[in-house]
Amino acid sequence: MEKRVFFRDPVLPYLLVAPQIVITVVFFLWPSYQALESALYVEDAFGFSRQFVGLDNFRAIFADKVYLRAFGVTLVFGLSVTVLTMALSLGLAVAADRVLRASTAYRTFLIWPYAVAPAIAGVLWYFMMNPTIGIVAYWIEALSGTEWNHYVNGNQALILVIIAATWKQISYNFLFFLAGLQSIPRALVEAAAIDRAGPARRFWTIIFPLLAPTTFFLLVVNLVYAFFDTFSLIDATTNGGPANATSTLVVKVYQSGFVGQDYGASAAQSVVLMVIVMAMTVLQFRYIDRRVNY
Amino acid sequence: MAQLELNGLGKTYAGGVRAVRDIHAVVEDGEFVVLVGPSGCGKSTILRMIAGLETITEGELRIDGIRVNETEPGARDIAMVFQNYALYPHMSVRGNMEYGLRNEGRPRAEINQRIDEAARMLQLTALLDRQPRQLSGGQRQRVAMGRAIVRNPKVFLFDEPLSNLDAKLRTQLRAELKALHRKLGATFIYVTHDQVEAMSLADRIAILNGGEIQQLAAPLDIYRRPANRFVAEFIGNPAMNILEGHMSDDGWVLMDQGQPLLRLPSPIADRAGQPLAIGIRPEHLHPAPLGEGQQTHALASLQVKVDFTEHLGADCIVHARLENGATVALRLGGNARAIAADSPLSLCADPADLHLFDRQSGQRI
Repeated sequence: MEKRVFFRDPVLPYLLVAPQIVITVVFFLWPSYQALESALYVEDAFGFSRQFVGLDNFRAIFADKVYLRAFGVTLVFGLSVTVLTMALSLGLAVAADRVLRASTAYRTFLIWPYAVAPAIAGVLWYFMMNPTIGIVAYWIEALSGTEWNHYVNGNQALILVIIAATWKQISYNFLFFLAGLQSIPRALVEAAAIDRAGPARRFWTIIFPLLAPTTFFLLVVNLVYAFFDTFSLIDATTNGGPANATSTLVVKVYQSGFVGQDYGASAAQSVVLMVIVMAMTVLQFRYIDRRVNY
Repeated sequence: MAQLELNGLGKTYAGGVRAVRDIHAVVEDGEFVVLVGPSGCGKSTILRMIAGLETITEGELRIDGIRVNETEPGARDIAMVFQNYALYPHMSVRGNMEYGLRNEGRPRAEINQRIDEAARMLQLTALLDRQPRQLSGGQRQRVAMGRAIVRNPKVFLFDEPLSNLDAKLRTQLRAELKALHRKLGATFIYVTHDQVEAMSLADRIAILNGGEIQQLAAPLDIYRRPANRFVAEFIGNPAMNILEGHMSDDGWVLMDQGQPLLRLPSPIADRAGQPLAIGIRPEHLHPAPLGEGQQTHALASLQVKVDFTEHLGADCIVHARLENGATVALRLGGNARAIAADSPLSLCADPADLHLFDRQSGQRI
């Protein structure tokens, strides 16, 4: 079914799409081009002169141990956030789906974190986990005896940003899982109950497979979120430290460019990020229509 | 194979709505019972209570004498066919059929044998490796039945299984269902809103309204002796004609504007002067030659004006209007000639074909 709208005025349709095109060009295409271009130059710190160096910037970053370590950090961070988020939000959604149908208040509370700005979420966790004044840090020490100080301990810092990013993203996942669960016809679950499947078996053999499209979609969304969308959260919470323990690839782009004033390296890194995003998008579009759909 | 006992079964929802009340029935081993009624009458709720998908708030349900109120659906040894088939969309036809058996932990060989048997019975053998979305509505319905059959349950439950199919397929599957029941000899409980399905399939029909059983009897008994006005009007198409009237002191049944309808052979003394509803089926009204519409003891008679005539091939339905505005329908044979609109017509009926109901309670007199 094709629905076409015909305009009598030949200019009007272009005017209607113009805002979107302008936004795309100004905020997306142009910066991308700039990044691509800058990646091929070395610029002095004050921006007075620059010199074409070809792929030297790329050679430099891939030789940089700090940058390679950021890959590892990003991978650990991204996978942990994705797995944690999806497991927790699926659990919450299943619980909500059971009690819900009546109470929307529960759902509203679970959605709230998504409305919190990333930087504010970062500050929130910064205060809660602060080794001197943070209440959660105090609890951890009181309960387990371990000293919590993510300023010194790199692993603790990484755990902190993982928890903060997960907390932030759970609401979004929860919403999609809940919608997915509610779109599964009740009769299917009832039929399985009559077919002698217990609650756990019903979940794993009927509900979970039918959620596959939602799950796959969220998997990609969460990976993209964790890899590229967590800069402000990490920056506000740990600032990438200590000793680069929480420097993911995006944080590294910022540090090289705005802190280190090495625009060429920063641009080269963002080109690498671009390639990764593109690869993930292709993956998503290639597989989302196949396999996952039953 | 099982006997089913419903002792005062009732359902009150958390909001206080009482959907079903005081259902007493015994379904015998191998019987085919159809629950029929208008939407919201509680028929599906009763079926779901039997299945265990809905908790029972009042009364007791027994299968083969054992109370199962608190038993999980899977442990009741029943199978259910849903209105929308409820096939597992991510499993093949075979996967759908073997799911229950695998949950029971049956050995592979037995599962395969049972599936082959059921597939042959339902002509599904060629479709076993298809996905549900590749099947037509009728095929899906067969798979849903196959999934129930392989389980070899004590009781089969059907929740409006044919209502999503087109008319022709419905007729065909109705016949297959009847044959299946005969072959399996199992206890069937079947919910529908379609009176034709109820009449053609059931050993006994339970007619429901407002969450209560109005009448539980064999199809023809229900048709011939409806227990109350609701049943009389619900079963039969066109519906039974109901005329408002009352009983005179000397045993005449009078219509409300005073026209005497007939004289009862033996007047019911305690009903003298009381309001009545007089029911008569369309096929029991016959046209009488004009001028012969005299009241006699033998025939009840009515003067009507024809509204319009419907020729249905085998039948011819004439819709007419009484002087007081009430409408009646009469069924004539397929060879009847059309009667011009507005022409006067004299109708008569055998008093034995009349059904009298108390106008207040609606109960049959």
